[in-house]
Amino acid sequence: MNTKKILLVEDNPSDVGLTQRALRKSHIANELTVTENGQEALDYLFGDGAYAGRDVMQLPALVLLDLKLPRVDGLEVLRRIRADARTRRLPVVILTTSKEEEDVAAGYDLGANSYIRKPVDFEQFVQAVQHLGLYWLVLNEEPPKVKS
Amino acid sequence: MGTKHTSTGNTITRLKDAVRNHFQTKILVISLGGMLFSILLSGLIFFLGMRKLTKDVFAEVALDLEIASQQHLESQITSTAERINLWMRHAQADLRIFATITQQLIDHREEFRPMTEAIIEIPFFADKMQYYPEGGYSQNAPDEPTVVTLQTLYHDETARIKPHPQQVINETAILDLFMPAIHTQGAKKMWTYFAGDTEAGFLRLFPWTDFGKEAIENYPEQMHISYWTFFPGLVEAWEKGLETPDSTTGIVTFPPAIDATSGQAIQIFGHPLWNRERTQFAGAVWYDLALAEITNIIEEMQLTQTGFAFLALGDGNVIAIPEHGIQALGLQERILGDGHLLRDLEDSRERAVAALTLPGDDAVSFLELRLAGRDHIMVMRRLAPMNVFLDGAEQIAVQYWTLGFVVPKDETYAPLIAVQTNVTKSFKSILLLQGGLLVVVAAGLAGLMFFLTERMTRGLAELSAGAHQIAQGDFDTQVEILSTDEIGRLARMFNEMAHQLKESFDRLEHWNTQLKEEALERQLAEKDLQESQERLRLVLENMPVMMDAFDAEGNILVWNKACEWVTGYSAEEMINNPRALEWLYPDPDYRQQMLAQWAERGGDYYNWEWTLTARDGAVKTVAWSSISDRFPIPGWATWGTGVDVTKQAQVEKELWKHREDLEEMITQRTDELNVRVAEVELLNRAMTNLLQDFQAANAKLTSMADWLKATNQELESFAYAVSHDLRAPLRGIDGWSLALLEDYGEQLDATARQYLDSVRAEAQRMGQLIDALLHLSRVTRAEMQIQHVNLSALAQAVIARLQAEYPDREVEVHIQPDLMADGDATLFEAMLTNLLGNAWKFTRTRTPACIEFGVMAYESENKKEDQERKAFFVRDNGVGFDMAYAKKLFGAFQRMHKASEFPGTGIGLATVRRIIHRHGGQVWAEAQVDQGATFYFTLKENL
Repeated sequence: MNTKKILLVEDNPSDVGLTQRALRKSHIANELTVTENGQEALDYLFGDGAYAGRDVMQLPALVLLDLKLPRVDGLEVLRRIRADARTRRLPVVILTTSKEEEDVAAGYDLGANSYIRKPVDFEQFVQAVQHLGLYWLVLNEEPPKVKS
Repeated sequence: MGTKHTSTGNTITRLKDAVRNHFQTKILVISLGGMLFSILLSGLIFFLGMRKLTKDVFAEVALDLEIASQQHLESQITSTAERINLWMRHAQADLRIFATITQQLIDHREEFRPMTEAIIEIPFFADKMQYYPEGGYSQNAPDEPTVVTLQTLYHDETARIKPHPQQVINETAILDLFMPAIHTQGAKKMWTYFAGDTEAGFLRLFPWTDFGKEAIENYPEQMHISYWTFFPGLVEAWEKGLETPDSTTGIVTFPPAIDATSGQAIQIFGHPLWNRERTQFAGAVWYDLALAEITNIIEEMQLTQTGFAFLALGDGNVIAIPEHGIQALGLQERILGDGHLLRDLEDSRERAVAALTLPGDDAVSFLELRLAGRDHIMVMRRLAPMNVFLDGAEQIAVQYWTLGFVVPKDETYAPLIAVQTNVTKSFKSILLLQGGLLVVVAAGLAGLMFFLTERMTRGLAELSAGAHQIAQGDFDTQVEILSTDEIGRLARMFNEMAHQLKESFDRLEHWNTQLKEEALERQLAEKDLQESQERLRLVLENMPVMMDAFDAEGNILVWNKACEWVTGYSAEEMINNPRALEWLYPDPDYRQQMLAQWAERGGDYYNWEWTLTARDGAVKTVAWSSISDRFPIPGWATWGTGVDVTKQAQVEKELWKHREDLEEMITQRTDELNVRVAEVELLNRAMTNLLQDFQAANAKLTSMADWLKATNQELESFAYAVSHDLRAPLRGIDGWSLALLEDYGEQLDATARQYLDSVRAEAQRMGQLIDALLHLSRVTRAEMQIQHVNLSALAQAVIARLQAEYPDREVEVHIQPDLMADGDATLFEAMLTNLLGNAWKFTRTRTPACIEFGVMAYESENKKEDQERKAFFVRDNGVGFDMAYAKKLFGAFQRMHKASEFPGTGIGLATVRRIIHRHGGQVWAEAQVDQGATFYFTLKENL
């Protein structure tokens, strides 16, 4: 039984719904935690703010990160994840609408594990999520835990 | 002395302040003016750029929306038309089944006889005919599946059924088994019935109804005539069709009618039956279909907000249209005697509608109409052909129904207007932001400028004050060096200059002293000259040298004292005495000789000796010298001196020499002075030039580069917003439509599912269009890196990719090797991908498909260029296009072919054109429908 969570950082409720649906259709049963902005995502990962007291050693299996976010934007969230020893090896997949070269380049430069552009066609989106889940949740060898 | 120093000090300070303020004001005015100008210019460029961009985007989106809405309407009308056609085909297929079964019963009448005789014994099939004397008809019992009603004329005198009709009743009793099934399946029918031949023109009808009673109550005469009486000429028309079996032997229909029993609009379909040999009419099978099934679809169809659909018969009678559609088309209703409703397009109050021609082929036709002051788009499509029996003409003819959509034009643009409002809003906020930014940066720069000029002008003021002091004659002035920059260097140079100036002024002063002394000398010399002239006059008068003068006639005008002494003749005697020369030269020969030689030489003689005779007879030799040429005196023709004394002549010569020397000296000194003055002027000019250079260097400080960069960044973020924000809702539309389909699909009917599919297809298409637009925008903005590019190699790579993508295609490709051009390799590749991709796409239907890439010489249309230029070309043997549309070819979202035939976004050639234009070239195409197309492009050489 896979109990690892997936952390989805996404502010658009429609996209949250679609992503949940795409995961469900791809038979990815991992529990989905949704944070609506960059600050909340960081709070969740580092046990601050509303998530104070959360066991921060319980890292999600995968972070799905949108780039355009209120408060702290996606690239900043990624930078902070990579800057902290506890979350440095956490798989982060950028899931966004933007295909601007600068965003793709900045994402990879900051250590994103994948960059997926959300297609308009939902079936393609489901396919992308399916591949994503198969790779990151099944095939990929988990990174060793960082001892704190 | 102390007091004087202080006042000079105050003056200098005041002067410094004044000069400094003056300089500072000038520099500030020039620099700030330049800066403001560049700010305003870049602001203007940004504003115009943004406005053009939004305008272009709207124009392109508007065009696409029009095409998209046209395509949407086209697909909608096509699917609706197919739906109605399908309904018709269903109905006709049902009727054919019914006809085939019944025809079998007739064809195998003899073989089935035992069965027929057995069946009529079975209560289910048996028709228990009962005679109703009040109406004169027979009818079977209500518990039968079908009703059989026999009119009076099929009875004999004893009210018994005649043998032939009875036989037909018996033979068709088995239809009780089929008719309920045929009636309830397939198209929704009101009545399903059989009619016997002309000798048995009664009906067997499902479902059972008291047909006889209704007839007696409403149309009693029906019970006395054959069914066929209602359709005069129909049987004959069917029989006539036997001769030409291809057209009118089959199913016929009639204009919609009102059903007598139910009062509903019905559509009647009939199929004839024949004897076994197909030579004689043997009856027919019929359906009455409820037309409401079709008219409801039309009347409830929702097109935009107020758009509507209508259905018109072949003669233009509109049989289905919603209430507001009747208003919009200006239709007038007429109710015929049989309760039939007539709404003819020809009778419309709208002139455009009355003049409408229904489509003559199966293509979807578009036209624009102005209805009630509002622009509408009308879309029409012809439905499947039907054989219609025309009552009046008594013949069967092929007729078509027409399906039409009418949509107000402005409603199709509603999404564009919404987008436009939003973009205008963000455009305004960008402008506001840009303006605010401009003000802040301008204020910052102004502060910086003030600080800089303050520093600069302090040095300049020092300089100016120093210059003033120099002007006052204080050449010891040295200015304070305040900085090490240009101003500091200038101050140093100024000090050096002041030092040199002082030296040159010292030298100048020295020369001036010299000059003054020389001028004094000259004054003395002039005084000497005046005195000598006076002396000369006295000498001339009293000198022991003779001096005389003659007029033109040879009379003596002047006769000095020496002349008197030498000749003994007084001046009074000689002046104006015509005989004077006779007295002096008494020998006429000698006198004549002298006069002749004198006349010859004129005034050109010197120490010319002649002998004269004095009063006392003494002969004296006088050496005459003429001076009339050198000192001509008006009135004196010649004058001269005469003496043998050479001493006077010597004195005179000395005198002349002295004068000449003096003049030469004055000229020399004056020249020297001029040279010194020029040197001082040169120094002054050098200083002025230095100041001007400094000002020019200062002006360059305000550069526009930063502003252009900022403008570009704004454009980038606009494109980014378009990419992200416009795509997100589209993904929502697509995703939730699919969710609806998947989760609630079973609760939706086929039409609803089809609508959802359309919604998804349109959302995805909009996504592709946004991507294409972004690509086009990127092609326009990207910075070009010019290099020498091998176009042939690029083309080869593009073809290889296409072949890999479509491995089943067989295409002959000819690429001229090593075609080189200067330009951006990435843009060239995008261009070739579009051109070769098009060639690949439009040769899909060709075997073999041929694509060629090469270069050829062409003569420029521009006569000035005269020289031959080369044009690259991409040629294919594909479907080509009509040259009438060649001009539109390169616009964004322009498409020459149906999307279903050759898919694409319509942006490729617009991209090609921008790339070619950015490389200073031209692009054009030549083509013919079905004869292939050739795209030519030129590139500017030596970019």
